[in-house]
Amino acid sequence: MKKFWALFFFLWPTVALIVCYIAPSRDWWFYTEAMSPLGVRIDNLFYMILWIVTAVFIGTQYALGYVMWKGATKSESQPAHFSHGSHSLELIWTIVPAFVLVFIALYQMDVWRDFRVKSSFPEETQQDGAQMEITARQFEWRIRYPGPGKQLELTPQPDDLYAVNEVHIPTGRPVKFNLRTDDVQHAFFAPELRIKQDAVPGKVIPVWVMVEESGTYNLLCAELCGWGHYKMRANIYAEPEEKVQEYMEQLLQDQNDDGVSEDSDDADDE
Amino acid sequence: MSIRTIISSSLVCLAALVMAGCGNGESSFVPGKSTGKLMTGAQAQVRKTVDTVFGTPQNLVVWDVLPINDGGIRGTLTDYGKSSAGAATTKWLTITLDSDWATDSPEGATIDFYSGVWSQATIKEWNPETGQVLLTDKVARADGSKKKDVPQKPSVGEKIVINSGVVLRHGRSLYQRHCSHCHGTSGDGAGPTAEYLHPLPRDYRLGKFKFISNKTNSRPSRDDLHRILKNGVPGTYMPSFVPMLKDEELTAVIEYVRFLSMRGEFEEKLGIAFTEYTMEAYSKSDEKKQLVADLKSFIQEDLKDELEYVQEDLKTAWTDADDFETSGVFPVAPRVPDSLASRQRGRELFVGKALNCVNCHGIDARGNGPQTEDFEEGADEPGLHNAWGHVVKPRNLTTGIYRGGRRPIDLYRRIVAGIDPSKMPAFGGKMPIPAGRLAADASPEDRAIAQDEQVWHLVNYVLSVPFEVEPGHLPEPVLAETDEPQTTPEEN
Ligand code: HEC
Ligand code: HEC
Ligand SMILES: [Cu+2]
Repeated sequence: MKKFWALFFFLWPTVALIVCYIAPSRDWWFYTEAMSPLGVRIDNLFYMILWIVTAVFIGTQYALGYVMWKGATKSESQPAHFSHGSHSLELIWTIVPAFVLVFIALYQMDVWRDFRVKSSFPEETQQDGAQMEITARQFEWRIRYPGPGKQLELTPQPDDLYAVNEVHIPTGRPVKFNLRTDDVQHAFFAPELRIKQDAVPGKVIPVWVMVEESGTYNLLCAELCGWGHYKMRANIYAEPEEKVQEYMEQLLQDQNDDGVSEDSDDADDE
Repeated sequence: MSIRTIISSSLVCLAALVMAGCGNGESSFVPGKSTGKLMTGAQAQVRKTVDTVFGTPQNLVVWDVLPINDGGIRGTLTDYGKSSAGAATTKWLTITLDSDWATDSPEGATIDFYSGVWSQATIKEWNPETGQVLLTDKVARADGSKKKDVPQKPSVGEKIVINSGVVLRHGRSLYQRHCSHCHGTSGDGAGPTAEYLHPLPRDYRLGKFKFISNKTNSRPSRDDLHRILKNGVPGTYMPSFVPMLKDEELTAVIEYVRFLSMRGEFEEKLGIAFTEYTMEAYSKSDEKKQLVADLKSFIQEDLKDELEYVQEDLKTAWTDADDFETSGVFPVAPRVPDSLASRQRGRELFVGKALNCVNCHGIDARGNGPQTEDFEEGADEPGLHNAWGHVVKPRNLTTGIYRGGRRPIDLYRRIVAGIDPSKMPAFGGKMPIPAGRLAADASPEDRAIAQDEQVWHLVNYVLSVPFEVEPGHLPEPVLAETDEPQTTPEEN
């Protein structure tokens, strides 16, 4: 019976490993491919940590299994041996993980810097400034673009263009936007683009992203912000520069809609 | 009983309660305010009528005369068919449909027959070319009863409806999930979260809406409701529901909002028919017996006409709402280009005696005009009261937030048609025309154009208010600004 229990408890980590190993290929659960270069780098960090964790998991589980098996096969007549700590063992399991943690902390530094530190943002975003302001609000995303040919100002301008829950960004070049919130704390979460950034009341937080491939990506809120948190969902449309320009023109036209003028689309809109 | 049994059994009860939810899990429509004021007999009659016509949330009824698109496809039963073996059977029917039924999977669709009462069956197969339908089983009375006086078999020539109510039921479940905690199950704007919000969620039961593209006091068009759901109402707790709700979900939930609104209005109007029979009248009356007898004869003799009248009223109002040509508000003259002069004229109109926007919106357009401190007749707090009896503040126009939309056409509509439920008057046709603008014999068209020009000046002014250097002091026009050197924004 003792042997049974030893094997029984060893079985579960083994099952867990197998399930985790086959889950992505069976489409049980795994995140989708990263759609931004920075996202790929973040994924690489993740994989590195995953390997470390896997190694530690296998090692510790194997050790535990070994101890259990040893205990289970030992004869009952032998008296138990109690030990109270081993100085060198404790040193080892403190220093080795400390090294691993320090290594991870240092190793991820440049990805962190490229994502978060303003002075290391891609050069284009430094020159162009923010392309839009995204304001989280209970429970929607409101977007403000600068008027045609203008730069985004921190405060609203007369010719700004507005949209709700619909972000259009050009592909193939880094784009910077300002993130803010109107009320409580929210978090800008674009899973496919690997961006998760809190929006903090009173702060204007610059974020940049570069998307290589055209497509529609999710924008969610990742900070429980109230009853309607679940419905803070928007679409990020990554598309070629011309398409974005077309969209902006459409937005401009809609926003200047006076119900009469030639280009007014009121007829099919109403 | 030991303490332990008490604790454990109460835990079990609690768990059972939690799992069962509150009450019996059925939601119900609550009666309107004015219904509650009626005499018991009148109240019962109103509630009974409303329930017959609109059903309960679990069992919705669509009154055919109202313009509600419940998703059902109507047609007629043209023939009984024969089974493949050649025997006559009630399972094979031939039907003709009034409109196209675009479906890939007819199996499982319901088909309702009307032969005095409705009965229902389920479709197994359908042949779009021949109109032949195979049913899974015999036609059954929808209410399950087996009254003798009702023909068990629908006869040829009778009305049928396929998939009756699917859209409305879909709309209801979406509404319950996404809207009812604010707008309430009955659409009374009194869901559980409502009390924490300002402004309060819309109470649909008066059929009054604020941000519509239709004339003063009209119902909203489906497109208006669609726009509200797409854009939300910025500056309030009404959020945008796109892209969370897909197109067909929006259609369904919009139809359900219209259903609730018509239901509320129906009840309200029916209540008005009973004005002579309120509790108050009863308690004041010297001849209580006579009053009860009058009520009885009223219900027996006049109610039918009243119902017809209410029905006709609702039908016209809600049908017209979707007819943009007759109900829509649209300008005849295009927007006057934005310029300093135009804004100045707008400001003149804004403060001028003729329109007196400042009376409500205030001299600096902050929504604090003198009228916000006046007491309305019978009110116990100062300020404007909206159609639902709550104090409403005129908009602070310096914030640059426009709840009904920021397009020029939106603001045009707000000014021309007003915001009736909030007592902002309709200013269409009331614009003072500057001397010399029109000849004495100007045609009505010219007059309309001149009117519109004035409205556009106001729109240009309103849009410039958030950018004023100081209240009433107009900034240089945008156009002039573009020549100035661009300053680079500094974030953070
Ligand atoms: C958080 C609460 C909340 C939720 C949830 C909500 N609304 Fe509203 N809604 C409001 C408020 C508040 C207003 C009133 C805005 C005003 O008066 O300016 C409103 C107004 C409206 C209006 C009236 C607009 C007008 O022109 O008068 C409609 C229609 C509407 N909501 C539909 C819906 C539908 C449909 C849903 C669900 C899909 C929904 N709302 C969910 C709060 C909410
Ligand atoms: C009797 C008072 C009253 C007068 C007079 C009045 N308003 Fe208003 N106005 C209101 C109220 C109240 C609201 C807010 C309605 C609401 O949100 O329920 C409002 C809202 C507005 C809005 C905001 C619309 C939106 O989409 O958010 C504009 C713009 C506006 N008024 C312009 C004007 C102009 C221009 C005039 C003069 C031509 C005027 N008002 C006259 C009471 C008034
Ligand atoms: Cu949020």
